[in-house]
Amino acid sequence: MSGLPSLFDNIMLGFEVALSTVNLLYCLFGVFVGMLLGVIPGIGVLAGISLIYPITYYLEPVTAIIMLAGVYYGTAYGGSIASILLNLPGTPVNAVACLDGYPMSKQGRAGVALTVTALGSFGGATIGIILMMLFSPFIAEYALEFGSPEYFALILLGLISASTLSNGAPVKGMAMSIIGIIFGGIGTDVYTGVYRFTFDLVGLIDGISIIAVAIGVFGVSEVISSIRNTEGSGFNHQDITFRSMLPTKDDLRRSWKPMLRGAGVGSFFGALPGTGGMIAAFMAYALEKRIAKDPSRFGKGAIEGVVAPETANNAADQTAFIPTMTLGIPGSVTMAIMLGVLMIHGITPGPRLIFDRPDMFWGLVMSFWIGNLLLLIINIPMIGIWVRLLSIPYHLLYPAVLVFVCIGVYSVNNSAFDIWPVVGFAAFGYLMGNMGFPLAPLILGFVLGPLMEEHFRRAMLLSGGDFGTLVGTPIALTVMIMVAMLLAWTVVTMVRDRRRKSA
Amino acid sequence: MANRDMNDIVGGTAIILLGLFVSIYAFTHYDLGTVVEMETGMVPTGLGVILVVLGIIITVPAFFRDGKLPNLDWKQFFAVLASLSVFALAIERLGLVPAIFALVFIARLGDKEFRPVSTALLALALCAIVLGIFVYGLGMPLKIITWNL
Repeated sequence: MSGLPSLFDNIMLGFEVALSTVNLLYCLFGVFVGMLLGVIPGIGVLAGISLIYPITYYLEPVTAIIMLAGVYYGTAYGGSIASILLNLPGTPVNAVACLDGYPMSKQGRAGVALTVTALGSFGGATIGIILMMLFSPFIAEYALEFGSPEYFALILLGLISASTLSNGAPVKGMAMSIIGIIFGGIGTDVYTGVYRFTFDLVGLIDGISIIAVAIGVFGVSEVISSIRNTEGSGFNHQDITFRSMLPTKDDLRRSWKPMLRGAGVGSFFGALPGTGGMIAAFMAYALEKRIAKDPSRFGKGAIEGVVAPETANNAADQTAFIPTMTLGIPGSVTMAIMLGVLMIHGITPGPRLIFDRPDMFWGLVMSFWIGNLLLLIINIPMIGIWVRLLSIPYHLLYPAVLVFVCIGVYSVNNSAFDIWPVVGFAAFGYLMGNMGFPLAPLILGFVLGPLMEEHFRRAMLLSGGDFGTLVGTPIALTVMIMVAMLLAWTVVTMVRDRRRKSA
Repeated sequence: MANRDMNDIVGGTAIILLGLFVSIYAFTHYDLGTVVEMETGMVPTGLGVILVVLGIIITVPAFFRDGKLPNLDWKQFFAVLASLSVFALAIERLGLVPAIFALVFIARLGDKEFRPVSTALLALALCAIVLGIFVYGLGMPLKIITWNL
C-alpha cells in the first residue's frame, strides 16, 4: 500500500513533470484560453476543449492532457465572470452563480463577488486536488481486482444518478440516457464486427464523434438560445478598481464556511460517476439556502449564494478526475472527452495507469495546482480586461463561435461529414432541451453506453448467461443495491410530488 | 391547451416513435443471438423496448394535466443550422473562404437586423484569423478556395 513516503516521492515526480518548461507553457496557454472561452457566453467547457483539441495532435500525451485540463478548469473560472456581470452563464455550470452574483453586481459589488469567487474556486480546487492525491492510488489498487460485473454496476449507477438527479423529470432523464446509449452504439459492433445503424454511410462506420455530439447538444443549441437574449451587449461598464474588489471583513466572515461546505459537496458529486459540476453547484446553493439563518437574502445578493456553488463546481472539476483516471470511467461529460484524447494518444486510463505511468498521473495532478494558482494570479489583476471583452456584442461573437466549431469538428478527421451530426444533435438538443428533457444524461449515455454494453456482454459470456453474476461479488452487489435504492427513492419522490400537485 | 400537457405529449410521442424505430429495425436487421452469446441486435432491441415504455410513461399522464409548448426561436434555429449545413457542403467543394462567408452571412440572417457591411467585414476577419491560426500556424490541410462541384 502506498504510505506517506511514497506519496512524497510521487509529489516530487509530479512537480518535476509539471514544471518542465513545455508543460508549464502549455498549462498557462490552456488556462488562459480556457478563461477566455469561459467568459464568452455560449462557449462552455465542451466547446473550449473541442476547439483546442486539434492542437493536441502535435503534442506529447502528458502535455496534451495538461493543456486540456487547464482549459477545463479555466473555463469554469471564466464562466463565473459572465454569470456575475451579465447574468448570462458563461458555461451551463455557472448558471447558479447568476442567482446571487448578478444582484451583487447590480449593487455595485461586482468586484467583491468576482474576488470571492476566485478565492473560493481556488479553495475548492485545492481540496479536490488533495482528495485526488490521497484517494486515487488507494482506489486504483482496489480497482485492479474489478471485473466486468463491477464495472457494469458502477457505470449503471453513474447513468442512473445522472438521469435521476439532473433537472427535469427522472423519467425524461432516463429516456435521454437510453437515447444516448443507442446513439453511442452506432458504428461497428466490437464483438461481431457487424455495422450497426450505419445505413450504408461510410462516415458512420467508426461511430459518431463525441465532440460532434457534445458541441451540437451543448454548444450550438446554447448559441441558438443566446442570440435573441443578448441583443447588443446590455452591459454597463462598472469601473472595477482594485479597491472595489477587496471584500470586507464581513464578507470574508460569511464566506469561509460556505466555501468549506461547497468544497465538500463539490468533491463528493465530482467523484461520483455521472454527476459533475452542475449538480454540485445546485446542491451547494440549495444547502446554503436551507441552513441560512435568513434564507430570504438569497436571490438578492447573498454572498454565500455565490461562493458556495463556485467552490463546489471547482472542487467537482478536480475530483471528477478520480474515477476517470483510476477506473477509466468518465465522471462527467468533459471527462469523457479527456478520456477520448488520452486513448487517441494510445493511453488507456484505468487502474494500471497510476502504476505504469506515474509520471503522467502525478504530473497531471501537480499541474492542477499550478494551473489553479496561475488562474488566481491572472484572474485578479486582469478582471478589467475580461470585463472589456464582454462588451463585444454578441452579434459579432456568435458567427465566430460557429466558424470555430466547424473548423474544430472538421479537423478531427478532416471530414466535412462530421459536421452533420453536429447539426442533427444541435437540433435534437435544442428541441428536447426546451421541452424539459435534460441533456447531460444524453451525452453520458453516449459515452458510457458502449462501455456498459461491453461489460454486460462479457459478464454474460463468462457466466454462461447467468444474470446472477451481476451481483455476484460484494462490490457489484453493493453498487447494485445503491442503484436500487436510488431508483426507489426516485419513484417515491415522483409519487409524493404528484400527490402534492393534486392536493 | 386547457387540460393537456402538449409539451410532454409531443416529447413523449417522439420518444415512443424513436423507441419503436430502434427496436423494430434492430430486430429485423440484426441477429439477436442468445443471452450468452449476444449478437448485434440484442441490446438495441432491448433498449428500444425500454424507450417505448418510458415514452408511454411520459405521454399518458400528460393527457391529464396542464402544460404548454415552449416558445422557440425558430428564426435563430434555422439560421444557425442552415449556416452549419452550408459550411459542411461548401468546405470541400468550394474551399474555406467561401464556406466561412456563407456561414457568417446565413448565421447573421437570424439576427435582429441584417447589416451587410459589418457581416462582410466579420467574415473577412474570421477568414484571416482561421487562415492565420489553423492553416499557417498549425498546418491544417484546408483548401482555401477551390472548385470541386
